[in-house]
Amino acid sequence: MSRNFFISIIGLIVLLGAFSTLSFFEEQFSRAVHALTSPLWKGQSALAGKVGDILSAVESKHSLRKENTRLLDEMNRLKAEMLSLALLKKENDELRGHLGVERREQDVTLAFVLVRPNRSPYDTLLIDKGEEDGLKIGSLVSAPGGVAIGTVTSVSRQTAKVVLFSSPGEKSVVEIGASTLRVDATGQGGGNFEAKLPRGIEVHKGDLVSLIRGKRIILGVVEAIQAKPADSFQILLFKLPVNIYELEWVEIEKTPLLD
Amino acid sequence: MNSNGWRLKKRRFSISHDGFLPVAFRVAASMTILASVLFFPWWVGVALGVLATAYFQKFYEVAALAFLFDVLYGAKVELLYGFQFVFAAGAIALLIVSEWVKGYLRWY
Repeated sequence: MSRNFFISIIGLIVLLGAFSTLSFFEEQFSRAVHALTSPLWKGQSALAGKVGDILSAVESKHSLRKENTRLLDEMNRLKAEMLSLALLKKENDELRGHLGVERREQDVTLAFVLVRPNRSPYDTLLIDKGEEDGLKIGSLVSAPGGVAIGTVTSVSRQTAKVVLFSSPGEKSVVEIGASTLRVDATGQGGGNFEAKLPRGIEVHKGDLVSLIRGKRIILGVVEAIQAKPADSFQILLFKLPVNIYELEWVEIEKTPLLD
Repeated sequence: MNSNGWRLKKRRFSISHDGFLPVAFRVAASMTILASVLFFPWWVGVALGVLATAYFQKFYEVAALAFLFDVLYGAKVELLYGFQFVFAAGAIALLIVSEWVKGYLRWY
């Protein structure tokens, strides 16, 4: 290996170190790059939509009829669920009224997902709202339906980067099921989480997992419990109840919530 | 030397000397990897980057493209004390390893 090659490598390492430690340069460079690339992603989404429309015209009648039936069934099921949710909301509001607790309405904005998590192994999203739309670092991001999925970690003028709670290594404080014990859930990537609980705590498959960020927010449902007889802990595996690879729209609360 | 005794200078990057095609091929490879970083899943870019680094001599472009990838999609990794540029560091390591290995291979 030549001397010039070594000098080039050292130069690259120094540049990388400078960008890692001097966050100002990294932020400015990131803003410039996002400003250049967001029109390309918007164009890609528009093109994908047009191609999808053209291809759907050649789909067979049988498959369209089948899809229609499936969607009608799904819609009826969701209508029924919405009725029970409306009832629960009403009860919740009445209880809050009795206890004198006011409901804080969050200012929510809807954003289109430009880049989905399959583009990187980090479980990150890029959305088409930024500083101009009032977004701030730390704002909570939810999938339509109110399931929390992540927080805004960097904001450019017209775009923002969202790191999902399921990003590998990301830790979140959660409560599981009826237990009031708070534990750390660690992201495993791909919308999956792992949480360790002492063996004595009763947990079941299907228990709701709630994120604690100033208020309780649904994060997922327990899918599996691993517990070896010799271990003093049980490992809970759960995942986000939304398909993060097919997300098209997300809701962002403009006021960042405190942990 | 020409007939008058003057030493003839070799031109850099002339089509007859270096060939336009190898340079054009390298630029096309870099553009392809850039397109895969922007529009395709991450493993497509990684596969193309590894192949290009193995094929071309001192393919520094892979480090620049990996850095771009980290700026676009990267998240701070808690295990690495909040270091965000994992792919860029990996690309630099790949460059070093590939040049070292090429030194021992007869094909290069």
